[in-house]
Amino acid sequence: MAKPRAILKRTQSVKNIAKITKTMQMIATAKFKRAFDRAVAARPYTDKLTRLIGKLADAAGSEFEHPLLDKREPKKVVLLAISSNRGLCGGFNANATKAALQAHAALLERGLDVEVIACGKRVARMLKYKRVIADVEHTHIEDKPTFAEVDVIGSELLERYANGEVDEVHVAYTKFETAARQAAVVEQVLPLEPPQADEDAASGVQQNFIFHPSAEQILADLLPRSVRLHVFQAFLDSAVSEQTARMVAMKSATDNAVEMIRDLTMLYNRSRQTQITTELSEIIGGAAALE
Amino acid sequence: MAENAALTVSVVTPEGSAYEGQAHHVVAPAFDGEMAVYPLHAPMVAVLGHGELRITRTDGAGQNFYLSGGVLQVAGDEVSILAETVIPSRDVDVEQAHTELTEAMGTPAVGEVELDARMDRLDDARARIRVAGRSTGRNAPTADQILQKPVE
Repeated sequence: MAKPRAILKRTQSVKNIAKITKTMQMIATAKFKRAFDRAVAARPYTDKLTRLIGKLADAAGSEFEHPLLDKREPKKVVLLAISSNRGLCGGFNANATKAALQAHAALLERGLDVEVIACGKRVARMLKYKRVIADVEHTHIEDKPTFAEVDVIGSELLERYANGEVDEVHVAYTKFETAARQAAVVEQVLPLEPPQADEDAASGVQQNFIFHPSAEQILADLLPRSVRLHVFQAFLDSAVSEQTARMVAMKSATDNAVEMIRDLTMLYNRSRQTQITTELSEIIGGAAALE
Repeated sequence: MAENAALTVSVVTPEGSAYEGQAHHVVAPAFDGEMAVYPLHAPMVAVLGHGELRITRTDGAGQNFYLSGGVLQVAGDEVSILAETVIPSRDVDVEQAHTELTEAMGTPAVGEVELDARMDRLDDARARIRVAGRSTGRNAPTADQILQKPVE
């Protein structure tokens, strides 16, 4: 049996680790709430934009054409992989990277030239380990992505798409579905799917809207916005998912540490008792030998 | 009805809602000039430009925002404004706008796309300066600043 002193030392270090993981869990919980509020705050904008685009699509008719809707023969595609700058959040980064790698392999199989943009130190490092070197790395986006920060990336992609440099844009990120469910997904950002005409607008409540300047032009103004919003939403979702993943990971780490402390304490008590018993029997044995 | 009719205004951005509430009337910067919306306005969708959004609440108090680009929708007595940049007018940074204006002026632009982009930056900077000048009464732009066109 191990020496009681060594066990005591180990217990102490496990206790320290438990303290750290507990704190990290609490921080992640606080950050999760904030990130969640931000993701929810974006929702009215998304809903209204989607509904408006539906309404306009209905008004503009099916002949509406826009460069962002064109499906051209793809040659060069961009894969935007989003994860975090920090680790200690369970399988969060690994899952996001896995999704990105799968998408990357699938795109290569189609014989395309793939450019990888990695957002987050972790995903960049893990991709590099798998011999996929990111062409661009963004590591400045922390756990509170602002629209302005993210928009730099979104606008650049839009511009390059408009120039014909890039023919498709995909984004791999962790979608936040519910607090208990996040899934690493790959979505196509560009070209856009043709907007679906709004059901409500078509059925009954048809109002005669004045379009200023015209439905087509407004739609042309809104489509790039919806692309940028899509990218922003991906970053927000990823930020929320990261905090949830960290919360869960740190919770189980704390639980494990507590259990370990209990086991170690029991082991310590036992070995202490064994030691005392041994010493006692030695003394008694010694005394008996003297008689 | 006309007496106590009120608009329900919501200004939303991707980062959250900037204004939510009742209003007497709203003046918004449409892409080709300012437009006002009063209750009983016809249903409408308009593209917005750079400029000041002025909301006059039912108690007469005003609330002003700088916004750049976006879209306004009027449906019934509901006014929804979607914009990516919404800043309360008094928080507009004039110095930064001046710097941007000078910078945009100094950037050479060739071709339609670049010229358009530069015009957009210039419009944005000028609108910021104008809005800030109006909200504080200081830093009002001079005629030169407003009229000065970029060198082709």
